Amino acid sequence: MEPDDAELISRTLVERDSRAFDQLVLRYQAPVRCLLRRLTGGDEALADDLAQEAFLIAWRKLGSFRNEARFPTWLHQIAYRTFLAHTRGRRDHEPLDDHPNLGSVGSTARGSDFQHDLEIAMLKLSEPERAVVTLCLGSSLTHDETATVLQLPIGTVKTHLLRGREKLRTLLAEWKS
Amino acid sequence: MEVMKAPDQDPLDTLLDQSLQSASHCLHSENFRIQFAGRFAAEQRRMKRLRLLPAEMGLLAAVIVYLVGNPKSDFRSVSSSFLSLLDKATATLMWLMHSLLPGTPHFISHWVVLVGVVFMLSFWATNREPTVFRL
Repeated sequence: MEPDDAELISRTLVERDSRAFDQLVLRYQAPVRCLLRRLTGGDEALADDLAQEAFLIAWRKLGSFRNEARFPTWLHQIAYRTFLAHTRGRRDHEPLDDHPNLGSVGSTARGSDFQHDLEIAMLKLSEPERAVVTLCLGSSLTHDETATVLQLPIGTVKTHLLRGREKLRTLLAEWKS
Repeated sequence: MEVMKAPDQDPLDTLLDQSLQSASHCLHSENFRIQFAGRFAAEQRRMKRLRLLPAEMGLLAAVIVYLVGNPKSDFRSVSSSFLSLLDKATATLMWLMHSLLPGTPHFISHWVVLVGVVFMLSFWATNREPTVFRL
């Protein structure tokens, strides 16, 4: 039986068991990297670098984790703050919509890659919409948890989710049939 | 992760939910894990170096108390080789200070040198593997 998050955290802190933390990384690397990839506009190298940084920060601050939120919520919050710190420090920040290598929705062969079109469509959303859609629909965080991660009022989270979803439906309307 | 489909849910919504969830759960990469393991190990070593262990602090405190507090063991009368070296270094530094700032009262230059030595000792202690310096 797989140990739960609380047990792994306890082993990391009390026994200084780095393998326990490695298991936490293994468990949550996918959603954290996915969130950061969406936020960085599909820049995989940068997203992975930020994800590593976020996991290191999580390890350093693990002692301050008080179970007030679920561990994935806390971890996503660190990842989002790591991204914000990176964008604040970057002077040549370009709007993600101007990314030259993304193609456009429908540019792939029909029926072949909905996922590809979805990723392109995601980039048409605003940054908060993209984050909310990824956290609520991708990482299965509740509205409350998403509001905690993004430090937004819950009403704003719901609005971003509705708008984001509607935009995606419009952008991916070709796939309706 | 399985997406529950409501009876009247639009097929596009279902596809959207499924794709968003699968994207978030299918990004497992052994490469990422290996890269992180290297960075994690380096971070652990760095944190160890930065951690000033109680034993090291105790040793530093003992040295300071010994140097400052013991009236019989001022810098010039101690015979141990370490303190003798320290003595010479301190004497040189104090001579330099007096040469550069001739009017400085003796006790000020003494304390400036002492603080400098303690700072260097702390720096040395915290930038080594704790196991090497542990008593």
